[in-house]
Amino acid sequence: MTDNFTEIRLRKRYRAEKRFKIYSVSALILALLILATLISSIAISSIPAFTQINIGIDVKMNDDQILQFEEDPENVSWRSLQKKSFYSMFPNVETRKDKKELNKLLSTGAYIEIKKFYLDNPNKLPDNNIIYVPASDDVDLLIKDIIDKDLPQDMRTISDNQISYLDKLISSNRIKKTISWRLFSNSDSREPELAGLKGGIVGTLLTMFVTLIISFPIGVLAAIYLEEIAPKNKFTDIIEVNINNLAAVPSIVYGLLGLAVF
Amino acid sequence: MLTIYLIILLGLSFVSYFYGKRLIRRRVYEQKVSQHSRDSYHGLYLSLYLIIPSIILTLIWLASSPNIIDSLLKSKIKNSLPDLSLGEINILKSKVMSAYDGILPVDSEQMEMFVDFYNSANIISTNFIIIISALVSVSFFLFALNRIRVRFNARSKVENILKFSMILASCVAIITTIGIVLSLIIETIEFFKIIKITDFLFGLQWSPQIALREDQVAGEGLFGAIPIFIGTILITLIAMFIAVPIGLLSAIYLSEYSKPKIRAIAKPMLEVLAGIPTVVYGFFAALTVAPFLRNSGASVGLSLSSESALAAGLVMGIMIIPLISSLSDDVINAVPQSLREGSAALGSTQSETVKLVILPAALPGIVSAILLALSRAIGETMIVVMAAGVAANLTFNPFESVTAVTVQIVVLLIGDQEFDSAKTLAAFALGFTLFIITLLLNVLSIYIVRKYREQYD
Repeated sequence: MTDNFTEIRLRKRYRAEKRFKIYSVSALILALLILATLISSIAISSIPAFTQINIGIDVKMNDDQILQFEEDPENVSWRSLQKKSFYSMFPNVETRKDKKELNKLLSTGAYIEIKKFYLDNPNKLPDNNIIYVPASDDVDLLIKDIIDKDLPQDMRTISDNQISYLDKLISSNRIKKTISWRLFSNSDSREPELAGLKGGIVGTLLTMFVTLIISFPIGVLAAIYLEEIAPKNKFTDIIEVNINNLAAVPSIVYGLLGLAVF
Repeated sequence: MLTIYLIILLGLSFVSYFYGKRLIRRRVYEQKVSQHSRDSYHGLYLSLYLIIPSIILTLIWLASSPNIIDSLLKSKIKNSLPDLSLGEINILKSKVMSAYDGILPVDSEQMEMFVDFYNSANIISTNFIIIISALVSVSFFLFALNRIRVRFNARSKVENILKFSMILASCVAIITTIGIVLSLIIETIEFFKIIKITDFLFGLQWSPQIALREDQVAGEGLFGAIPIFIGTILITLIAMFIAVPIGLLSAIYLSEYSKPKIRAIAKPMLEVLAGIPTVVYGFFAALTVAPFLRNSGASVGLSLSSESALAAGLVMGIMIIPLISSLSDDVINAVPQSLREGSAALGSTQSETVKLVILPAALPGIVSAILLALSRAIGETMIVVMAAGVAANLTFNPFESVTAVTVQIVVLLIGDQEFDSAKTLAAFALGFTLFIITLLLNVLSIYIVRKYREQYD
């Protein structure tokens, strides 16, 4: 009877042991799974941003424009050159409204690419060139399948007409996906397809630099003093408690301090 | 100009270090007496005496000269245009300053005069500080040079300087705390002159829209802080609900059960979570967790706001898991091995040892870890700014949108109000309350650790 009782109790205790172990393992696994989810979800949603859709347009300068270019590249009306070249690829598009829609496929900064191309290759002025310029952000999203083509027209930012122009461009092989170096070489912009991180990166580096210069010597000196040299008295105790507190003060309070002082 | 001076000074102090070393070598050689301090102390003594006075003077000048030049410019404007009001003088002054920086064009003769005045005042004051600090530095240097002897105790002088700078560095913490408290208190008192303190602490309505102009249509401006503190508490509670069990149990597993190999991999991985910037967590909350919760809530018939307290709380909980787990891991490891062995000798299983021996022994440390995590969660800004709502909503329902104290501070400070409008000042009052709360939590956690820490050693 007693033996039986001990055995039941022992089995119960072993079961509790097993349960506790499972709880703690699953807590750890859960934490690691969350980490994996977080990193992969950030990575998956950021990967499309590293590529960019470009549209190739046939550009040919007429004699007037070449003359203007030789005088001063700023004189050339690059926007109209871009528009005319792009429209000439779609001879069927005639009305103003359609042309406007067509032009919206290109980024508003597309003409800068054309200008850059001619500045880099002045010997190609009279030729018939295919120049790849960034597509607008909507086109970018559509080709990356982030905008759903099957939605009704008024629920997406890109019209059926524009999709048919795009299909024509795709079939004539004028859509190119490239790595978007602009992300690192441009600063912020209102146009998503032209925006980059350069300003942000430089600003962050400068802030880090200043922070390091200020905090590193002060922090190391204070640490050496408090740990190795200072006598253990009330004053150093206050300093240590103070440092602990400062570490836990919310950053927004430091922000308020900055606002009030500077 | 000033940078060139400082660079030259730096170079000179570098040179004087070697000069001091050679000087003492030569003296020792000539006098055939053994020296008191080593060569490098004499060198350092010289170079520190050369550079420190200049640095101190330059810092003082950097802090004070803009104000002095400012008031000079103001009085100049006042003298030449006596009928301007104070506000007009200030506007003209800032115009002159931006013209000096080349942001605004110099459009009138008068303007040109002021810009010239400002320019020459700047140049004069820079030259002045360079000459003064050079004179002071040189005299300090000559004084130091004069004192170098073979039996001179350069070491203790240098060590005193170093020790003094260390004490100064340690005092930065106190100065910062005083700075925070003072700046927050001043603005908060201003705020309580406009809004009654009881209205702020116990008011149930928060809508800080006040009329900036007489004729503007806007609310009275209600500054009852209860709803936003409830929001913060709700989000924090959800976060602690996630983080405490997961963090504590993984700490127990890592320190009591896991093989060293698993621990060596899993612990750094958990700490990766602590190194992720909070703005990334904010993105995760706003773009992944919140839509997921809303969709899954909709599929079981719950209507979740897309800025629900649940999403912000969940992600904030994830953020503080590593804080709790690594702090409690340290505490659990600090429990003496003899306690574990004693418990095992009495026949208890491992989980019984953990529950009945180790956790009670480590409890003060764990409680202080949780309190620290709590104060982190209360003060967390970026996650709630991105994932929680803006409208103050007095509710305990985690599916609804609530706002948090830090969100309100951010919202209040964005936009162009005057600095002393009630809206801006309210941000300081909120910040001060936040500071007090986190301060109390920290002091409590330090107190608990100090009181109970060494009980088992």
